[in-house]
Amino acid sequence: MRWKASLIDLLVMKKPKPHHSRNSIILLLIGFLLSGFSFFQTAEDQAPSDYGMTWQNLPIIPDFSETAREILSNGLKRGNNPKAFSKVGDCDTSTDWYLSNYDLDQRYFNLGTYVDQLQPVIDFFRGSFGRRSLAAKPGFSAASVLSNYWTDYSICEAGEVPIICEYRINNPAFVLISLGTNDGYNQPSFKENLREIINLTISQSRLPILMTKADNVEKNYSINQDIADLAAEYDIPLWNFWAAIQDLPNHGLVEDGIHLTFYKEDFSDPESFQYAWTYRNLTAMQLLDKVLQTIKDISEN
Amino acid sequence: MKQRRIGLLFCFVIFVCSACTGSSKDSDASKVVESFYQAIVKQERDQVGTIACAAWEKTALREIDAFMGVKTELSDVSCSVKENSGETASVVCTGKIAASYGNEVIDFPLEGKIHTVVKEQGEWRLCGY
Repeated sequence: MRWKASLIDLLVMKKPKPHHSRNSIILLLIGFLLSGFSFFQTAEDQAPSDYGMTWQNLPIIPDFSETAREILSNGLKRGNNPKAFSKVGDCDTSTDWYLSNYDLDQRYFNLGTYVDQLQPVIDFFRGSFGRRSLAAKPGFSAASVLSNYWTDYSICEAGEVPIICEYRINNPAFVLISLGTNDGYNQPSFKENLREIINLTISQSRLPILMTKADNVEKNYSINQDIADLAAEYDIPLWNFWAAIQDLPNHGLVEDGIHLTFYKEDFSDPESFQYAWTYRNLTAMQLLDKVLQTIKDISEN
Repeated sequence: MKQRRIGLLFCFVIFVCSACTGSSKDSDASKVVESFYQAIVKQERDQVGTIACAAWEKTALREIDAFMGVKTELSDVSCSVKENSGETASVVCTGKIAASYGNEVIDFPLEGKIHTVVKEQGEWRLCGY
């Protein structure tokens, strides 16, 4: 019982009694065991951000977790439109270069060898590709999506923030969220605001799909780290677009270090694979193919 | 007679002073709203503590951050008190925030917003709109 007494001494901050070397050994042993326990616990329960830069090695197109399937499935049950998705983001999302051509005829794109995989995607999600999202505008930060100032009141109802208005009008089953470039100057609020966006989206049983951004305006990749951490925390898909363009000249960025290099949308032209917009649209379509397969799977079971 | 005149003068001075004080209170209430718009265009997040009431501070920061990706300037912004009950005031503004991104300019007119301003520890603080 002496070790218990020593422990109690320690807990009540009493000075341990002298000349009890056996007590000291017991205390050391307990300390050693506790530190060992905490080591194993740390390895198991490590917060995502503690893993450092491993997001850079994550796959470009993610596998969908059970959580993601459940969100999609719940959404379909409550009437979310399986054929509709929303885009949330800044100028690289609001632009017509982002997926919009797939709602036009085939003069505007060439799927090349991907036609068998991607034509069903176009057929299924037709109408969403070129739709002008109310939650995507040039200059948007994560906070803008949640701000009344940016609500389009010619369409939206009083009190609605852009993302809520977009969801009400489009009723999407899932959402492609590409934010962060304009948040380079205030990174802590980015994570908080993105978390709010994720919470809002999941609360309506719409699956948020996060995308890592191409640039590194913040200089330390902390925003992509935040995006990856939140994807891991909520167990939602992370489209690792950053990884898709790292081998391109200037990492797929034009001189400003922000915007993506552009080429006509022609996957049959080998030259197009030197430009970032080709990968943006191609990997987006591959991601949509994955969503389509998941939706079909949910519907069949 | 002389005493009566002095009394009247005294009352007049008191009246003028109280009017001045009232006007100054009103102007403080409208100034805090103008300060908020200044904070948006100057991206002064650190000013929020002296602008927003405690309950609205988080939202105020978000509204400032909502403009961080665009260039902004105020155009003819002027605010005035519509109602003042001593501890709460309603402030309305005219003018606009002009936000630009590249060649695109978007105007955010301030007319129509009724700003709620409350007294917190003796200072006017913006508490929503």
